[in-house]
Amino acid sequence: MKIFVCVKQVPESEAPISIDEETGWVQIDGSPEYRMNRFDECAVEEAVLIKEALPGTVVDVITVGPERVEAVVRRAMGMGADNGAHILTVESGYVDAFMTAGAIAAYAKEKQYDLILAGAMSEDLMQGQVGPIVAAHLDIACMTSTVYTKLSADAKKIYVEREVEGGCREVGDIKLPALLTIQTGINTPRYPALSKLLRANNRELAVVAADASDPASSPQKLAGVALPEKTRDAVFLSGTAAKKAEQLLVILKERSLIA
Amino acid sequence: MEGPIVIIVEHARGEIRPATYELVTLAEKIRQSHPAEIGAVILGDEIEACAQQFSATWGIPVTAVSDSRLRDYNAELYTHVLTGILTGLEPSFVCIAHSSQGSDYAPGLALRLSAACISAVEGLRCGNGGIRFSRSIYGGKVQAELKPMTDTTLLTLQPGSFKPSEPAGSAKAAVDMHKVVVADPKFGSLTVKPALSEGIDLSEAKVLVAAGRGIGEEENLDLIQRLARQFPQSVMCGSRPIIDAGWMEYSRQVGITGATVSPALYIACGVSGAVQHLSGMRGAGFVVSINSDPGAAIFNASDICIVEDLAVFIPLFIELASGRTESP
Repeated sequence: MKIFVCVKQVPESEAPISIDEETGWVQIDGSPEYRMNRFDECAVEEAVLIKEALPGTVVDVITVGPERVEAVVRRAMGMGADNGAHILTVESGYVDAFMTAGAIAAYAKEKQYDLILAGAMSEDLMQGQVGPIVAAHLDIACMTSTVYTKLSADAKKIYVEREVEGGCREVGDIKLPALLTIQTGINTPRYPALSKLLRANNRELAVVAADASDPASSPQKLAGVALPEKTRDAVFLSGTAAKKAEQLLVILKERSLIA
Repeated sequence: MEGPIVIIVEHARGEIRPATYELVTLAEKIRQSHPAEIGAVILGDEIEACAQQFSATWGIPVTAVSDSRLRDYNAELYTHVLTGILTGLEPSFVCIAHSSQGSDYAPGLALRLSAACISAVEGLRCGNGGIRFSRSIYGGKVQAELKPMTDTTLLTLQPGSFKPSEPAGSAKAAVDMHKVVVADPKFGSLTVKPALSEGIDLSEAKVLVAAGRGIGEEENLDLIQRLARQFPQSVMCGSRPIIDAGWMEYSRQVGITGATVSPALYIACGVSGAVQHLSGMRGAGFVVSINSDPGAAIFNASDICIVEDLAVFIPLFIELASGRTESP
């Protein structure tokens, strides 16, 4: 069984961000800290769980981005993935999902993966597109928002449950090869083992230079970014914590929201 | 005249979902700057009556494909059938709900149609540079505007972004029952497993106190619970990370994959305010947010914003509200 997991590096979600007028893109203020996208951590964990249950399974991990992003591939190897690959791009602002998915699909095309896992979306761009577009390139089954998986005994099918509206689930068997996008809550991602992490740090990753991607071929372009508009008054209380608590109590009493 | 603006009608076995009426609004807004016909496509089993009803109500011509294999949503069959139908219609825009279905098939369908795909759209703007669609990035801290570069653009609309359109009593429009050969799915098919009906009903609560990832530790739920007790008819709820962590049961989840609520007061504690959560609480009367991150997106959707550590602020508030010192 060969499993392929797509992972992405994202900025820490509490990182202060602003808009860089020069580049017209988001800027992470201070010294940016990056980590693995949470949905992708769950995808790596799911792959490693399958590997542990089915001896002989190999888990490959891939990421796309500038040099700094290889840290998430090594982390995935620390969690138990076997091999890492890195499609190296230049540091840039908005990256089109079609470009990322095209590069991943080109890498995966001849490798005969049985199962491809990706996060349901990235925490930064929140599009949820890369997984489904990779599946479309490879012409394999695709199931998004997966919250449960169980591989069949012969490893030819996978039983999946995917989240739909109102707490319902769509459930059933999907023939492999298939691509699943993974929702958080499916498992609890493990911390990387130190020994594995050290080993991963000494391993060579398969580094592939991204095609001098032609932005003209991208089906959509970034037209700009802006801070979101307020949909309510957004009055910030000031003073010490105790003063704020007093003010809040007055406000809620005025509105008869508290006795 | 540009290619038509096509709405994909979302329904559950013939019962049209409300998200579809927001798609009508989106199509009408696009048409203001982009004169084109509006049409609709509906896939399902014995779907003709549903198609007739939709076209009669909205005056929108409908292309319908009816087949027993389309009774429930199937990604593979939807993609296959829609690729054929849309290739024939040559639409300029395709309006799809950003639901569990739409977000599932739209990106792959876009690749097959060589179309653009803008996901989770929340708004649009027309100006000198043409039409642009806005969507949340970075957990809702930033809005990005995207501009399609292709002849056809697929849009998935974040539910709750637009007011549902009202029927204008238009003239009856045609229904075209399309003959398409639908094969059995190669990859397999899924069936729907209903939700567990047990659990708490958030819709009855007058006050909801919500916990988000920012509470940090499970032990801090006690603090949220104690805050909730200060209010009559109050219930504690949570955002997705809290439910994912197993700290609260699913019935307490507020947001797009959980409950949609409209209490008189909503107090968000350590909730970041991603669009998936905001969709569930838009109907609240008054919103108070407490978060240590001054840039949290939740503040834009709040009446009162408090930048404080929950573990400091909540005990102080409880002490004041209850008129006595809280025991730790």
